[in-house]
Amino acid sequence: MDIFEKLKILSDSAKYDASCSSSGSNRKNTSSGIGNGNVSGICHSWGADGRCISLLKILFTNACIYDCKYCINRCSNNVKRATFTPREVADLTINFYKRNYIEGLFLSSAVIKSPDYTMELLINTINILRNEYNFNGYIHCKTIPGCSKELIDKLGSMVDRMSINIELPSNDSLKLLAPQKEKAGILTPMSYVSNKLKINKLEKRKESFVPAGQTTQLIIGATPESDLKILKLSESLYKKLSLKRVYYSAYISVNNDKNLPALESPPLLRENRLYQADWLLRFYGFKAEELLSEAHPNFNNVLDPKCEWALRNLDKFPVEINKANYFTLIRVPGIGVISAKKIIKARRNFELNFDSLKKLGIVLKRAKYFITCKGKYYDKVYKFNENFIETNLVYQERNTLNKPDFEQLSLFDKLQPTKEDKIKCLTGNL
Amino acid sequence: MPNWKLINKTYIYDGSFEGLLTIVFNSYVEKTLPQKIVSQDKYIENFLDKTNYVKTDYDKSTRIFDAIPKVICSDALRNSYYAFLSDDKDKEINILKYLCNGFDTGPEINNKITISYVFKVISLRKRAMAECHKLKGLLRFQEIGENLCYASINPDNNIIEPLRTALY
Repeated sequence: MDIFEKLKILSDSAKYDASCSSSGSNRKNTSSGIGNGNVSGICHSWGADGRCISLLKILFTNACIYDCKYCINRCSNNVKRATFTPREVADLTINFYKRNYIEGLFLSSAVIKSPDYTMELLINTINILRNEYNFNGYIHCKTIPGCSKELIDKLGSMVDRMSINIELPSNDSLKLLAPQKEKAGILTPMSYVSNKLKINKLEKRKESFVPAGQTTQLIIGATPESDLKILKLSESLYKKLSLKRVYYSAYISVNNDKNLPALESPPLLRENRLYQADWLLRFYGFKAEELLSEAHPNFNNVLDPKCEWALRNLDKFPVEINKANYFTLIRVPGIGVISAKKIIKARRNFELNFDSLKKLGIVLKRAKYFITCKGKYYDKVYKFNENFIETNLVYQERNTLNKPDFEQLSLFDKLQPTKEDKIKCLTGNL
Repeated sequence: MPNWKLINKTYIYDGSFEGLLTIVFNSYVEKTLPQKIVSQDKYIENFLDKTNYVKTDYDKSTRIFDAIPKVICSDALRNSYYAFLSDDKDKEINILKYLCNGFDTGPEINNKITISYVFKVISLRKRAMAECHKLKGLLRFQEIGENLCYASINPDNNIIEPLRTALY
């Protein structure tokens, strides 16, 4: 099998991994080396099929010994198998990097023979890249659940970001769908990495160990967990294990199994809502209990999480733009981190009114119902109650809802958003 | 700056950043604002215009260049330079007003986004750098020789220089 055929098989398998985002890592170029990891993050570029190609995203191998029910590469599936050699992956990366097709490498792998054996192959690859080619670009590598600590140490010293996929949000689901994986095998390496990061930070050690932190991925919709449960899990991952990101991936039905739900289309809207809520957790100071409760365990189909929260807490509104502090401002629907900072900067010199907000580039589409400027409401907002605001928020989307069919580029064929998805979905910035 | 004299003239300069800084120097010393500033390769003759060709004076431009980070702030230099790289026909006069006002007000100038030319300069910078960032990801090189890579681009703004620093 030649390298192009391998590349085709293995890069195709890798598209099921959601994570492809930026670094937060700062690796400087050395005098004879190639490239650098930039603090500002990976910038994205897109292939003709709409696929994000900022990182070379490939599996090292898809010959897996595990039989996870949801996975296309499980050992009982009849798919074409291929395995790279470490040298092949390194050469591919360098050649793509030179031509500026990619900013770095995202290396994942199925489990071949044993977790430790697979990890050693990954380490070999990255060793060639870092020490032989002097490649200083961004590398994100998957850790194999159940591998030994020494290998994590070794890998962590060379990569920018590490990740272990939790995949299923509870222990029961894990037993049901991925019987060979254990919760401990996933969480132990995770907490080991986060502990080591904390120790390094406290002791101010210079050694490089996973400078861009670790991430994980959860599959949404394969098991019956509610949004509340998933969000609480991510919250505790952020708090206790200080993860950088949790990715959510809508479950795509690729296998038939009696334990799997038969979904016609993946729950893309639910994935979107979870990402919005995830942002609210990380940057907006929200807590999972604020956004969802036992009485409302799932997100609204029409309104985004922040609008929903604002409507339930109308006593905290309206917010006076010229007086409110930063943390109050970012809780207004439609005002994000950037807008809030702009407002605070601009109001030092001028008292702001709605015109100057527009000039600053702040989108009033949703915000106008929740703010006052110099004590006045926006001129078209003549009532301040839940019914009025909710009706208007939905009503102003009518143009988006009635648009002729558009095409959303997708990684997967036949997964266009259905008409129902479009009607359900209020689009736009949080 | 509000009571500076407006003179009904079009200044023509050689199209370099130093040339623009020379105009900034002259304007600041004379306390005058021209009606329009155009680079010589973009200027179209017009019998209504009274033109004045400003010769680039590297001594003056260096003085302004050094003064901006000291008197205003280094971000102001970045704002004006990146705005200068952008593709906008009124960029020069906006940069001139921005810098002249900046010399009077100091670093606070960047917060006064409600003044139209400050807003314009900052958004021009954003426009140019956004294109630079986009091309950073979309540029595709071909190997055309030993250690020689080639890529062709056709950007709207003059961003070759920041793009070079971004890539290497």
